[in-house]
Amino acid sequence: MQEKKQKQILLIGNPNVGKSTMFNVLCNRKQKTGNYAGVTVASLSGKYIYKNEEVEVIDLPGSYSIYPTSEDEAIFSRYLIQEQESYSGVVYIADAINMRRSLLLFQQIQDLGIPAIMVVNQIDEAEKRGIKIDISKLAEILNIPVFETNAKNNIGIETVREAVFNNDFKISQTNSFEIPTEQKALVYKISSNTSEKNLYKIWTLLAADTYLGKIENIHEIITQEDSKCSVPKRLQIHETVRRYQSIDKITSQITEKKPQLKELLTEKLDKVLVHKIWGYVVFLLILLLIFQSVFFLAEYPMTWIEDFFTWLSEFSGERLPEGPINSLVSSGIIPGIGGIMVFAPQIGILLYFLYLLEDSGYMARVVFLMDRMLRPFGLNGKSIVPLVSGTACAIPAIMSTRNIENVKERLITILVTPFMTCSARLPIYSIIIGLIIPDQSFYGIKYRAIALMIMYLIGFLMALFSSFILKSFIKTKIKSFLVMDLPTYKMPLFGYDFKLVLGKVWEFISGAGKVIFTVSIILWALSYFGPPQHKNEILATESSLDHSYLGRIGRTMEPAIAPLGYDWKMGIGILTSFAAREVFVGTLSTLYSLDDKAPEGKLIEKMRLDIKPNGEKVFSFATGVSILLFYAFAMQCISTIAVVYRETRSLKWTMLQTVSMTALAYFSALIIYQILK
Amino acid sequence: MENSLILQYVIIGLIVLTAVYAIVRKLTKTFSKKDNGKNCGPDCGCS
Repeated sequence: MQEKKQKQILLIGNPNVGKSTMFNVLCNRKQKTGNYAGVTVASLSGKYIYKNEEVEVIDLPGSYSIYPTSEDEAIFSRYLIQEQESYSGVVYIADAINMRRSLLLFQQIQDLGIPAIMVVNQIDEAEKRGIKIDISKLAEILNIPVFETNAKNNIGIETVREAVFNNDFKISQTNSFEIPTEQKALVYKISSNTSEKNLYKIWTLLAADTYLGKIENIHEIITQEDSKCSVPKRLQIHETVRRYQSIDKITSQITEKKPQLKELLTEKLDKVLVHKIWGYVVFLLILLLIFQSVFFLAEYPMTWIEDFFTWLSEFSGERLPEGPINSLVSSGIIPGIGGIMVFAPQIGILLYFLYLLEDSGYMARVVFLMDRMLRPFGLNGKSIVPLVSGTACAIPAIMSTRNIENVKERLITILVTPFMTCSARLPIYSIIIGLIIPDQSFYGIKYRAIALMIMYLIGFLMALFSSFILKSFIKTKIKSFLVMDLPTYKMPLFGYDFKLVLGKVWEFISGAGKVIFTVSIILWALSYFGPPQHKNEILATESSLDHSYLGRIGRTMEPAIAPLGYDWKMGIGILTSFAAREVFVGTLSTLYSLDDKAPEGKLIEKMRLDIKPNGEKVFSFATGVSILLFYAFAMQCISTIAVVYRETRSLKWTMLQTVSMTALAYFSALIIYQILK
Repeated sequence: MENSLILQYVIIGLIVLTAVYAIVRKLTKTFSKKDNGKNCGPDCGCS
């Protein structure tokens, strides 16, 4: 049997040139892609086998230059330079629409002596704009293999695989950038005192603000006198200007641009979609449409899931032998898991719409609209991308703050992002809105959809308000600004996004399912057992919920939550949902299932009919609004807390954020309940 | 008490202990400094 060969390659290019799409096509993976810059903020790896050769593909975050300005770009530069021995070559993805910018980073990579091949992507989009690129001429000038691809439609991928298999990567024999005379002596001095012979690599060491390469004893070689004439930023500017002079000559030889007679669809759409008034109106209408769909389209699948779990619970109750195991399975675990699974269709629909918007290029416009609106609140520029992606989940959103170069702005963004309404809040909002808002419409728009949109806006406004407050404590002198391309509108990949959503929904089901599974076992045990009632008992079994350990715990915490309008069951729900917000609904489902006094039927019906000893409804309008506000502001997610800690590396800020968000949630819920009751 | 009931309580005890262990493990894993996911690097998070 032939032995399998192994190889590692890097995917490199400017942001939003289709690296992640290429990565997915090459490795047959379903990594999230987006039609805007900054989707990949960490390196990703995947594998494919071609002609009995296993190729490991590393997808690095996009960068415009070898010199990092933010943490995600630093990942790129460090990997490229320090790990040069571990990869066979670089597949450089160039953007056919913007060859000029693509060639800047490419030249730097060539000058670093890194073996590369070039792939020109988005040729079809360039042709629509009347841009024609002479690929063979480009290959001749750069002296490397150049290929055309359309990664989205899987065109040209086999050619790339073949080139990788044949090791067609080439190292440039000549440097496209000549080191300026003023720095030449120092570069030669370093070269003669170290093993590093690549002069450009030594130059990058002088021109970078942070140390990129691995050169031994560097601090002993560069004296203070030497560094006086080497201001990194100036050297970078000098290099960029020189490079663009030579790049302009290349692009004039390889690019042919026909005059564009017809206005592009993108330009027509942008007249409305980024308009200073209509842009916001359209955005609000799109949001309303999404929330309307969340309620309308999910109605039937939610009923089916709920009916299935009710049947399963009854079935297991009848078939399993009498005793604690029967109770645990039929009244503890199944209702707990069912209570949360029922919201999977709503989460799927919400994420599907968000993915379609990202893919189409509209999300980039949202970022542009927000940037204009949020500058007075200190949330300008790059903070907007994490905030917008926080509507799906705060964890990747917080990680995406890595492309904010200003440390203080990054900290403010990390601290306010959890206010954005993530998909885990959806089950709580959905069930509470279902309880307190009637199922009626106004000209076809459901009141419940409007209520859900208001909740999203409340989260967003609180993020703004908090950043405004934080801005006065965490003062930052340098403002970062957002430079981003508005990509052309593209038809979203409906099928691919659907598969991606199925994966995300499964992630939600398995992630939340595992938590609620373990939580419901513990909840059941605490509710099944109670303190001994007689002298010879160690434990009381089959206690009524009120007399169980759980009831005792709930009653103990009741004085703290009663002013908010909550009973002890909701208190237990809040306690368990510190793990993750959605656990609140699962907990209530388990508790109502264990309560003999609760009426029969679906969870929402049990909650609606539940009454206090004084005859008042447990879930009144005032209590419902109080819960909604509590969850809009509370930091009820252990994973987010852990990510904040990991990204800030500060226990102080992590604790401050958790405590202040919880306090804000508590007092807002208290005030609103006291006003409305 | 019937033997089958005793057996059920033993099983329940084990299940509850496993659940408590799972929660403690999840908490320690979440807050551990070391990344345990796939493709984790010192600077680049996990894929």
